[in-house]
Formats: sequence, C-alpha cells, structure tokens
Amino acid sequence: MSERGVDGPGSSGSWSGLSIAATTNIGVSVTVAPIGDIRGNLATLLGQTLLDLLGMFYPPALGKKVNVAVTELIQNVMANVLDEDSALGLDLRVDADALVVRVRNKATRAQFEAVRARVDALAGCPDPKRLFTDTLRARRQDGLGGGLGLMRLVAENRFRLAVSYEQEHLTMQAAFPLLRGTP
Amino acid sequence: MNVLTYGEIMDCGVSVFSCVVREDAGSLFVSFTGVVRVDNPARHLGELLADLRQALPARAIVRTVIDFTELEFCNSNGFYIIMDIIEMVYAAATGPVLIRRLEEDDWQQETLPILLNLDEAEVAARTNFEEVREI
Repeated sequence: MSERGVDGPGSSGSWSGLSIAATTNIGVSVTVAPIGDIRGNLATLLGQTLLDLLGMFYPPALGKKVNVAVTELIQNVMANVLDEDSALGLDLRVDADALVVRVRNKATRAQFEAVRARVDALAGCPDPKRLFTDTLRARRQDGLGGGLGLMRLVAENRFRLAVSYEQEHLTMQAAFPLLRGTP
Repeated sequence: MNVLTYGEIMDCGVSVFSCVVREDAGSLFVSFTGVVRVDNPARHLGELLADLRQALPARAIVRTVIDFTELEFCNSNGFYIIMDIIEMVYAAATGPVLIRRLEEDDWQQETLPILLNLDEAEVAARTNFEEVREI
C-alpha cells in the first residue's frame, strides 16, 4: 500500500478541531456497482443526504464539512472513471476523535501517482490558503473551471488528506479532528 | 424597490439557485439563494451578467448589501460566477458594501473573502461583514 498525507491549516496555521457537544457516533457505508449505472448526480445526492443525517445530531458546521468533502471527492471519481463495471465506495465515520470520509474507486497506478502528486504538493506548501487563492485566480484568468477540489478541502475546510493505493483501487481520505464535550 | 435583474439555475426542472438584484433610492441589494452544484453555472447565468453589465453603470449606487446567508452550497465551479457578479457590483457602485454571511460556514468564512478580493486595500476599505448565526 502506498500513502501520502497532508494537514489542513487551522486559523493559527496548525490543524485545529471543531468543538461539539454531541456524543453520537455515526458510521455510513455506501457502495455502488457497477459505477456505469450511475445516471444522476450521485455526489449531490450523497452530500445532501449526509448533511441532513448529521444535522439530526451535530451542529450545521459538521454536516457542511462532510457535504463538501463527499461532493468534491465523488465528483473527482465520476470525472475519472476507469472501468464502468467497477465499484465506488464511500465510508463516513464520526466518532469521539474525528470525522473521516473515505472514497474508494478503481484506478490505474498512473492515476494514483497523479493524485499523490497533488496531495504531496499541498503537503509541501507552507501556506495552502495562499496556494488556493493563487490557483483560483489563475484558473479564472485562464478560463478554466473547477480543479480546486482537494485544495479546497485543505485550505477552506481544514481537512487532513491522505491517499493510498491497493489492489488497483485508490482510496482518498479526508479527516477532521473533533473535540468532544467542549461546545 | 425595483428588481434590476434575476437569474437562476435549473437542475432537473427545478430551480436550485437564484440571484436577485434590487435597487432602491441609491441602495443596491444582491441576494444569493440555494445551491450551486452544476458543472457550468455561467451557462445558466449569462443573461444575469449581461443585464448587470448594462444596468449597473446607469445607477447612482451609494450603498450595497450582498447577502450570502441563504446560499447553502457552492461548488468550485460556482466560485467564478460569484466573482464575476461581485466584481461588477464593486466596480459600478461607490460607497460601503455590507456582506451578510453565515458565522459557521467554512466557505463563507474562508473562501468568500478570497472571492471578494479582500486583499486589495480599496476593496477591504469598503467592505464590512454582518455575521449571521444559523438557527
């Protein structure tokens, strides 16, 4: 297994958590196969569904983070489908320590290396928010859309990203620390 | 209050996003509502931009309110159209701009200032925020 990780910056430049009073643990797993059967906007559907679910137990800020992560990561998968007969997997876990979103899909080693390079670039960047700002403005100037998903998760939502590759499958993970009992 | 222009994004036959621009006695009100999730929001809102380009320069606007509190989600493709609208408003209006945004929303707290070009001194000097708490 190969893996790379990167921390998101908190307001002080370190990875900061979200304080919540709720003690509920939640785990959700969704698998769709074959991926070629997906006709509508699955990213939107899952992001909105999980936002609604988490809204029952947690402050809106937590559900919004999950919504952004699920939407951006699944949109990335759907834009780079390698094998329409393969499966897409989504796992969400919220417990006392963290919220973790994992999205798994079939990918080539080259696709993994490309994603890993982007994660590494974020990891090596002393100021992800500056990188996000500069990239956003450059892409706008060049008339390019999107291309900001992973950067956004780090610079805006302060997720810690990790990517791994095993048995022809790429797993992208976005994690965010939670501080229980101190709302 | 006059509605200067209005734009919306339809998804599967349903309106999922709208932007309304109103004007009243020198005050301009811009509100964003709903979710931006489509791949190419500019395709849906081109007419709104054209209307703004034509209507705003003719108005004597001395105060502006831009309200993001009903904007529930914005994908990264939506950033650019928001920037287009904001730039036009700042260029056409003089005086202060009040930004109404949600207090606990990563996008509105972290990314919106980037879209506003708040690191430009002239923009920063004109901009104030009203932080709105979700109930």
